[in-house]
Amino acid sequence: MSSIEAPPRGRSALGAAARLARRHWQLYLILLLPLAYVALFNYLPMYGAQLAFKRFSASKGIAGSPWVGLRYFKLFFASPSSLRIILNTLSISLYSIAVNFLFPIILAVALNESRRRAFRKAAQMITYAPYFISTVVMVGLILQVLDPRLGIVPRLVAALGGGETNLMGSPKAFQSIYVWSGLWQGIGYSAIIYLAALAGVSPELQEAAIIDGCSRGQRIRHVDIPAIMPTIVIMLILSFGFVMSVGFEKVYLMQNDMNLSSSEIISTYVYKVGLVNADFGFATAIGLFNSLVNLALLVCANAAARRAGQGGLW
Amino acid sequence: MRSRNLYVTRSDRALTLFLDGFLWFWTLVVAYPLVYVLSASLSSPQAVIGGKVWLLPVEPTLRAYQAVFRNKMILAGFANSTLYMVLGTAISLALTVFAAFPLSRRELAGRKALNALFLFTMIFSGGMIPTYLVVKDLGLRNTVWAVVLPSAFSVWNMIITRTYFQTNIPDELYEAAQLDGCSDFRFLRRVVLPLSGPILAVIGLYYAVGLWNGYFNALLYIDSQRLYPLQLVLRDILVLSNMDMSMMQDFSEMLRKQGLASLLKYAVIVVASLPVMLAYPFVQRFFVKGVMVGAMKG
Amino acid sequence: MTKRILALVLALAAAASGAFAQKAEWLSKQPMPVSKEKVAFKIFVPQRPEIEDITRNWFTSWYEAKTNVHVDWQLAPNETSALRQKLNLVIAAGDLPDAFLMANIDANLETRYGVDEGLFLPLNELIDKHMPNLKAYLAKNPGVRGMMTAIDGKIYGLPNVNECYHCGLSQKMWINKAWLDKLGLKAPTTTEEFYQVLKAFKEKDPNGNGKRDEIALMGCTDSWQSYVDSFLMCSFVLDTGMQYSFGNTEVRMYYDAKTGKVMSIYDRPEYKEGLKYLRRLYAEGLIYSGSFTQKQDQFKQIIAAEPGVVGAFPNGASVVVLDPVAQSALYRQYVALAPLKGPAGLRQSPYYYDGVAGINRLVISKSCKDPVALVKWADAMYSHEIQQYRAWGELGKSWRWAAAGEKGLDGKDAIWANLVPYSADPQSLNWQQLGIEFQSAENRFGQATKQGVDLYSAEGLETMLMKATKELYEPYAGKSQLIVPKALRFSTAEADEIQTLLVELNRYAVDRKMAYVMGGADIDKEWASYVKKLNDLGLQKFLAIQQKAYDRQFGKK
Repeated sequence: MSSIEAPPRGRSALGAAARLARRHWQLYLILLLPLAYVALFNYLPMYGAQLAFKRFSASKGIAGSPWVGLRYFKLFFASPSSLRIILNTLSISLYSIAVNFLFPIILAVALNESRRRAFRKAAQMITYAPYFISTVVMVGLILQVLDPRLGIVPRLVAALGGGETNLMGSPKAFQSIYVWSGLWQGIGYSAIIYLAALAGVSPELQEAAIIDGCSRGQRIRHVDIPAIMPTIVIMLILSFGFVMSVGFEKVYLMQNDMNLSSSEIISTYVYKVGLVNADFGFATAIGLFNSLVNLALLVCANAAARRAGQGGLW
Repeated sequence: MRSRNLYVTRSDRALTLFLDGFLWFWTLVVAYPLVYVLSASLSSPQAVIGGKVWLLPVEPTLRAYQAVFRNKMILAGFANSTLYMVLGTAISLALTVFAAFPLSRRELAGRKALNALFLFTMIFSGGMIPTYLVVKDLGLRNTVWAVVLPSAFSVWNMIITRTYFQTNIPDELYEAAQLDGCSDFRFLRRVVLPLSGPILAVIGLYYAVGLWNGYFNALLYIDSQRLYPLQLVLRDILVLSNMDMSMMQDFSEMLRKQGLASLLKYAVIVVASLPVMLAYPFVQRFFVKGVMVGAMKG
Repeated sequence: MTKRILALVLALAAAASGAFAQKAEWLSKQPMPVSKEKVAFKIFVPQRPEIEDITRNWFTSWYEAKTNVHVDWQLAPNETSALRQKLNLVIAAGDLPDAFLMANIDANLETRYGVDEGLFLPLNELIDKHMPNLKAYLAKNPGVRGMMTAIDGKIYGLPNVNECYHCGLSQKMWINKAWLDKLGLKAPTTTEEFYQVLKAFKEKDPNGNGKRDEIALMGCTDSWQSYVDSFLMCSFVLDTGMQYSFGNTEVRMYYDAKTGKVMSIYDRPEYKEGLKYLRRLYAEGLIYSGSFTQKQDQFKQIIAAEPGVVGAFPNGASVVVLDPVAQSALYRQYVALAPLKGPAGLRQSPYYYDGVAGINRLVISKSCKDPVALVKWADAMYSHEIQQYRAWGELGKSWRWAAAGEKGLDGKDAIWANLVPYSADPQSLNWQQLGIEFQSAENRFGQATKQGVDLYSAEGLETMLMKATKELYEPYAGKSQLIVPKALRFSTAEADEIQTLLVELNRYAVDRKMAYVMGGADIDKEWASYVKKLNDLGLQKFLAIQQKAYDRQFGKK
């Protein structure tokens, strides 16, 4: 089928590659601009990663700063709560991936299946809108909705005979609040990519399925889902590359004296410890640790996807 | 046959009910706070602070919107953000397509290595100081470019685009074009781009939204108010919790700031999200254009 | 002769209008212009939302003309964490401006960038030689120089003067006087009486709506001194509260004047008693459960409900959460409550004596070419005269010198009077809080005020706070237990050592505190293991470092 066969081994493979490269030199030319970009803005600054092992001195610069070896890693892992902080980060992140991965797909399918055009358009706009609420205001809304006196949720609980509840004060509820409010804010935005993919499914295919006597559920299962499967898989794998990088701002704003045991995560901890001293070394070291974990998870996710026959990132 | 049909209809109905219910549920759950924000922006600040607003505006007034449109910083920020969004999206889209197209072709020798090269930057970064130095040494500090360039390229978006190209542009099409002597340039321009409406619309929207909501580059690299994007202006107005009360000059000062924040708070959400909201229907239009390709595949 | 008469008449007329009533001591002693040639400086400054455009501000151009100094502003964000980020990056990249204004350079950054790296210019000599106004202020306030001095004995930053009398004793409680009167109760003076009052508030329907919707005591987490526990804890042991809090990363400490020791409250038996008292209040439903989680936004909504539902709340001032104009009736119900006497007889309010002068308001970098002109430019701001122009704007338009006979807040002769009403819009008339403030007590109290003003009106606010502070709090200003000043200096090695301890200790202590108060754990059973865990987390090491730093800076030499 394809114009190239699997490349043979050894020198001739190189030769084949060279021939191919010569024929498709334009592809490389096209790639030149993005390559130059990442070289300049991503690879050139990479030398800064050495700060993870150095005590940064502003007057001496990155290169001239003295080496401190694994000092920052030891500092972090020697701290009595580092394990809990890592676990908090992991659980909040995986929880978030599970929820924020599944529901946008359902929303996209539901929107795609909805027959009333006007409602469909409106629903699409409305679910997309919360994405533009800034984190500060978003946390304000969360506090408002969950306030024991003012909030809708505790009032509903009270109406059902639950008594006064303060969800913001419960360490157990913290992660759920974080994750589900995140879904509330991002579901419409995340669904867009699937909507676009679903739009690519041809009506003829749908019609053919209908003629074949497929039910709606079968059509969704056998036509729609396969059509968006590559996107689903890619999105899922990619999100594993960011497991350790849970954003700082929202968690920090949601922290209070009562939920600290479950709301302290790596980024807030680094902020609190690093803030005192403007300690770039500490932040860089933890960043490096995060990256390594992310890389490992990404590789695993990719391998799992390949094993499941769903392709992968590379 | 008949019984099967009946069965199908029943399961269909259940499914339809579930999907429609899901849709209604989310729309309502999302709509309520939005209506609240809208109503709050149209109510008097006193009514909002007093907790009197819960659905419809109380003591309706346009004062907040007047204050927004009187505020020159907000207006200038609005103009700047629009510029950053338009310029930045164009640059980002170009970079993304230029990377995604070659990487989607199996004919690209060394594709694996090149892919890894890009993926690596998604996971590892050099940190803020060296990036700052690069921007400074390029002479970009305090220019428009410092806002749009440092995060112009997202590997995540590139991979999504690449996947779309791989699955939606059939290899047969590429081979046929090759046989016809069509160059890679030409193929990108005449075949790939026209067939990629949906993905370009989505990725473009993602970039545009990122630029519109973003403030970090401006925070680091912009020194003059003239170039401040909207989000940076809004942050300075809205983030009051960090106010150091022990350093309070006097209360009129504090009341003034609180007053300004509570007056503007909801109106600025509405005003600041309007342009990106309005862009959405235009993006939606592209969603139907990819139809042909799917048909060919099928 | 006629000329002389004319001059006399003019002078009289002017004096009658008050325009020339200024005294020599109010004027700047700094000769102007500060430089013959025009000089320009690049100054890093946070962007203030109340100022429309710093480059097109009346005071900016007026001061430039007066001093012959042009400033190129390098704007940074105003929000604390973003500001810190940009500051660190600008310094880390070696991209130094001539000076940093209001950049929030705390004692730790001062040590790191000033003492260790030599990036800031020592100012000791420049102050003595070229800053007559600041020198005069320092001579009058000998304590301030100690606060300004870095760990190596040098001064790297100029202070911000904000002598806010009532802020020095800001840990206040506000109680619903209308409810007390209705129930025939007196203002409580002991923790036990306070408990009885709260109980009555909760049970006897003081708002008279027939529902048990009263909240006896309520606090919030992000307002001024609004934590629900600190005021009450001070009847047991000195709890300095939210005054300095950067989120929740502040270990609560005090300095014991008798023994000369820096103590943490977390392992004190008195603290244990205080927690048990709080537990009792909470267990009986007297403390609103949202107090530990809600923010000022929610607090304001609850307290604004009709009829009033809140019995008492802690805050630096009631005006922070209640509007004296729009919510006048409600605002009038709450009066300040004096510190309560604890079971062991302790009755105290923390005295924040270091709040007078903020450190490092202006820091000059080593790359500044003409520091003499720059310090002269800064020095003029330490005078009533320039303070008036800076904070208010044009003389005769935005403010005027006080006329003879006008009295200030404290009933003494006034210095100046305000001419512009407040508005919420950003403006271009003056710098407000931007620049170096010179809000001396004299200047604050020197604002011409209507005498005999209604204390609970908006105009009477400052007078009310002054009176409450003087009568209810000053008598109990902490004497044996003192605060540990904010500007405590650590060496880099010390700062490195405490940075993780601080976060760990505080997180554990706060987590346990909440468990003991909410009833998640039994304090009597756990106390010994709790104290042991604190020590395992390094409490003693932490305190030893604090002690060393305190003795070095403030101890007897």
